[in-house]
Amino acid sequence: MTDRILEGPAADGTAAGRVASDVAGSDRGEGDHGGAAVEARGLTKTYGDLTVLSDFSLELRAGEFSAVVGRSGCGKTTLLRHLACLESPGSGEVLVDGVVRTRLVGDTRIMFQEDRLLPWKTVLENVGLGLKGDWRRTALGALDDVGLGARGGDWPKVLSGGQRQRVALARALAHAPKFLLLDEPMGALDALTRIEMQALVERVWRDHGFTALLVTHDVAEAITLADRVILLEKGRIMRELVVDLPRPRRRGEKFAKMEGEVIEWIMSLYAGFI
Amino acid sequence: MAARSGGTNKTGGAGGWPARRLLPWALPCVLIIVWQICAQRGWINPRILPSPVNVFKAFWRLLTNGELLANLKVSCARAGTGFLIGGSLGLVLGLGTATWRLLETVLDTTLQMIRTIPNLALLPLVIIWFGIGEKAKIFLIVCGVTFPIYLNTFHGIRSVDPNLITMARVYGLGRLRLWLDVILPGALPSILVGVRFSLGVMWMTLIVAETIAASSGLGYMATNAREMMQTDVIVLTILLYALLGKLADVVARALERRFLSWRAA
Repeated sequence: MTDRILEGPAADGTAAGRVASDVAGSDRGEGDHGGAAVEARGLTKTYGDLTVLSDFSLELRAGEFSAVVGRSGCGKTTLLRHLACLESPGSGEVLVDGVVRTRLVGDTRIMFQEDRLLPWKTVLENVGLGLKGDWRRTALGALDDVGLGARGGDWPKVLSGGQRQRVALARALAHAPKFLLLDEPMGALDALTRIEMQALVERVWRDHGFTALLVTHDVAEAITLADRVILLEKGRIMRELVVDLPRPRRRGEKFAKMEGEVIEWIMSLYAGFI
Repeated sequence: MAARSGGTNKTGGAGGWPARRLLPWALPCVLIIVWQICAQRGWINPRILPSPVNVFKAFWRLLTNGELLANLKVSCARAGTGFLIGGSLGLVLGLGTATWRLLETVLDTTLQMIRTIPNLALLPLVIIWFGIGEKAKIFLIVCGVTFPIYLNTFHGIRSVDPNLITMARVYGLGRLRLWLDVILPGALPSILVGVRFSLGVMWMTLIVAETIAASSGLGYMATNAREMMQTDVIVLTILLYALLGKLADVVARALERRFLSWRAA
């Protein structure tokens, strides 16, 4: 165990390491600013008889933060997998910065509901996963960004759930994504940790300027974070709400009104059943 | 940091570690002392069970005339060769069948059938095929060692969390890195269980094979001693087996400590 720790941040300060990292760092610089414009055109996906996405179109402006809300089974996660190009649609296409994409590329990253850290790698190694060149320095920078710079040598197992999710966020940030998809990453956290995590996500989004798409079933969370809330039902957009509250957002009258409105929409979907 | 302080606690903890380390050896020592007393008082017929001192004398005699080391070397070489061949075979088969469905379909039923045959049941056949030479022993060990490692490798790889594999794809890991960083470490706990089990099978097979069909090795030494009623040598070989078995276990544990330290945290 001790030698694992020695391999950690402490071993990073070698001269050779720094030279290499400067090169990698300048590479990363441009990607670190701004987001990608993402467009879905007529996405359709069926599994057997089940239509999960039907003629779905959406435009995400560069650097915009959007949230998709909807009942479970409304196609949220499928939509996310398609936008990330993890899955290919039956018909339709995904364009990133105007170019058609058919497979997942390095500027797109996903944060999952579970942390999905590799338990056999240290925190720092997890953050450095898939990085090229001097990954230690990049990973350490990303860890610092989420306030866990001192925990690089620890095993994921010793961290709390909230800290692990922060490491997962650092892992996404280390790749300097232009498009970050968040698949209910705060769903499993307790209420207080969730608020902390929301603030962190908002801060890194403002710092790095990537395009963000959050999938959630927490309406308040969507309104706290997103410029635009999209209600998804049966694989298509039912409603859209532009959230023009100043950031960081506090719960107030206008916030409550918007939240009420979205919940009203969702309830109206149930109207037929209740 | 937390991990490091955990390590120092262990050495400075109540009772101290030397006591903890020595305690497991207390019972074997007491047993040997009681045995020596019984032998000295004449409660045990030395032809049935020699005293520990006599066993040690036999040990010294065989050590100084070189017989012991020569036989030990032969036995360890057989065990090691058989384990390496069988272990590699099991590992490759496990990796293959866990990766390619087709290979699994073709091989698994057959392997599962062969697996249920006790490898020692092959002994008469093996003697006819290979005589009592090296090949016979190594073949039997290979047969015994392959399957535990095969089964555990297969199971280990199949039980790697598919979510982690998706994550690795999203984070741009290529095929090689996916194997090295995700699949193999994920399967390793299970593979090491197979290794430990195989080490046990390895010794057992070797002992039986050497006792029945050999002209050298520890088992042969014991069989030979039986013909001359040298109970001290027989007891010595049994004790050596116990030590070697323990040694194999220590090696397996060390491997687990080295490669699975992330689980202990």
